[in-house]
Amino acid sequence: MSWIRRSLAPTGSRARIAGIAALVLVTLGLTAFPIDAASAAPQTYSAVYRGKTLTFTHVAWQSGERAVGVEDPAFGALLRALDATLTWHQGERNVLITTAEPEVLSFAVGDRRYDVGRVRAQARFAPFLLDREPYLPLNELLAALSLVAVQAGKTRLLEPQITSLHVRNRDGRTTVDAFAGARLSPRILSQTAASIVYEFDGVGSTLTGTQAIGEGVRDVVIRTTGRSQNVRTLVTVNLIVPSAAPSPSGTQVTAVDVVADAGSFTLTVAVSGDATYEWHRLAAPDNRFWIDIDGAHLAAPARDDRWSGHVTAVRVHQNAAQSVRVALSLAAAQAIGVVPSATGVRITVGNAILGDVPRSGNGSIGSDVHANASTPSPPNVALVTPAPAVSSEASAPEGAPPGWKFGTPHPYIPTNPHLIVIDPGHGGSDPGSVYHGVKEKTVNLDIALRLRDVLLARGWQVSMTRTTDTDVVAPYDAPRTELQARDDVANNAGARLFIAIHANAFSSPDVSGTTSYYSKPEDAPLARDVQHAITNALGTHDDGIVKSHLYVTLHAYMPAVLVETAFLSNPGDLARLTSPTWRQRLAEAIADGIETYARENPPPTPPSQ
Amino acid sequence: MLVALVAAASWYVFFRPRTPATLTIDYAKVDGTLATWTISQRPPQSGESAADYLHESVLYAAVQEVAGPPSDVEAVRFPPRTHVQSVSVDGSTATVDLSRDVAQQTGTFGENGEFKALVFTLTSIPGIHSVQILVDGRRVATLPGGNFELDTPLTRSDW
Repeated sequence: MSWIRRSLAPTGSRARIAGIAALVLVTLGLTAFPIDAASAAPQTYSAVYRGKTLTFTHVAWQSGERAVGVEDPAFGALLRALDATLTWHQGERNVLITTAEPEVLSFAVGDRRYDVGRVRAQARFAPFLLDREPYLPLNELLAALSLVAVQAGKTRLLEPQITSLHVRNRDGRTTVDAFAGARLSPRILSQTAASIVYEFDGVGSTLTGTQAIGEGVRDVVIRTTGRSQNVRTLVTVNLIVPSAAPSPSGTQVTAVDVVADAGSFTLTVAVSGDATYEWHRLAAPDNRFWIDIDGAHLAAPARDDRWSGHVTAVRVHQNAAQSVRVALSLAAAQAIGVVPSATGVRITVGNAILGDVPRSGNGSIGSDVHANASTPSPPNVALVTPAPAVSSEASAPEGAPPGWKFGTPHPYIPTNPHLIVIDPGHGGSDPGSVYHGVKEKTVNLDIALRLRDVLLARGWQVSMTRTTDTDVVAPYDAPRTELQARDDVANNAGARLFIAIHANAFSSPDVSGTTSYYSKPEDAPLARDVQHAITNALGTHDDGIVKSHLYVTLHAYMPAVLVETAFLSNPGDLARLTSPTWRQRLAEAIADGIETYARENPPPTPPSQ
Repeated sequence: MLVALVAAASWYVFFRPRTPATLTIDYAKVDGTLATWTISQRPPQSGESAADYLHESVLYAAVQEVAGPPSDVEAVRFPPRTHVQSVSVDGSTATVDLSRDVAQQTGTFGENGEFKALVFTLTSIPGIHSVQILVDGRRVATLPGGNFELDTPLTRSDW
């Protein structure tokens, strides 16, 4: 991916020569007409930004140009409108402004040089102090904030200028990130399979012409029309349209047809050849359904349609090199039928609203359908398989010594070497991360309960920090109280190991995989064995073991690991985490890792009395 | 005479050799490694104390770090609108007060990367060995719903 950006005034030799000339002229002028370096006479400066009139009152003149004070209320309002933050405290020399893009603008009192991101420029005059308030050169400040002052009759407008533009076309989805100080939200004027025209109303651009930028984009044409109040910038994104190359197997999705009426919605996917499919749906309120047809290439046009009724949107795109995804957004948790055939798959959305709807399923398309015709599709399973009955949790043995309160005893000798404490992360008032209606606390608990049962079946004693959807101490208690209580379960029982179960999340959906976090040196072998077992058995992306400063692993006396099983924020990982079959395999893999560690690292025994 | 004087002064202002001061900013990449950027830092002004210059350097580095790299760089970023409210330096410990926006965390992956990058950035400044994080002016055990312990000053050896 790539961006196009503005450039600032050069600071090279030409600028130096100009600077010298200016300095000579100014000096000569000063000798003839001595004036104050900075006029303290109160001034105002009014301008309209996005329909709002801003009247700057902290205005001074320097070298014939305006400067604005950083404590000016209108300047503060402008920064807020731009989603920018100012960092300056009384007595500090640097004035730092972080824009939405983000870029850090750095001015320093007494220094003409200023920085916009990593680009250095030179102002006409240096920022100066007036009544202990830094005043910044207004023209340079506005330019750095991607604004230009234009006169429209008697009104002065602060017109945003697009200075940074990024376009990406991935998996059939086009995204445009544009900044003019603030992040801009364009309107789509027109859209075809080959191009999209975005309109930025009331915005000019320092970028013009045809630019080759962005992933999956042939080129981008930027054109600004109109002036002052009527200015607008049109950005035409010409996409790279993928050729309908057949998959190695030759299987193609040749058509996607929709028939909708008041009572039902039927979508028929025509597939030429053999393929497998897997479908998933998310719980209310998300109500999304998608089916991946694996081993096929999209020969029909990609779609991104809006509908009304049971189905509010239909999206069809090449999701991966050999996988076509058909996604539906539903108005409610309607019943969905998925019927494969020799020539494709038919998806029917009915009227009935279901409570406990099935979440996933899979099957085959093509010649296999007839072979398996006598075997109906298995009933789909619920999001969370009912937890095993709570009956056999081991507690600390009677007479166990009281927990240590300060510091980790060295070496740690478990008073119950057969006991493993499992901590399902979050719970009760703390849901953890929530993506598409799936709560981390729910997934963590389900995996932990499964792990408990596997370990019990293998002869271990297990204690849980929680077995239901509850806080360990009390709702909305302090983080320290809640996390320390989890460690206390293990520390007070003299357990051999502490295993925290979590699901990760991140702002980008592209990040996926399993990570085992640890803190103390004695944790590392446990983290390594658990991580190895999971990634070997389940094939999740191996993000490795990571040393970190995590509360529960730091404060557990015994070897401890916090397993971030997979990313709720990644569609592939989310599908795994919502699969009971996968969660069961995960629990078994974690147990395998624990047992590998236990075999290779026998607990130290207390010295003989 | 005056013109000659001005020319000499101009040469001094524009062409005299300078040793560029730089700061090293670390950003956590999504693969868990750190990417290092170098940014210019103004040299100390005459009359500026070493303590004041260190304070300005810590502030500038912290603001750059929390802002993150430009949007086209795929990196682990602090939650939107998170900003540095203030910094202070006491001995070899830099204290960074972050706005409460930092509490909008999404997971251990983000927490670990953000604080690791901030600590590595600030401890690359000569004289700084540890970093104490405050959230909206207060010391906290962890962020709400978070896993990362912030109660004590962090050092590079915590990773």
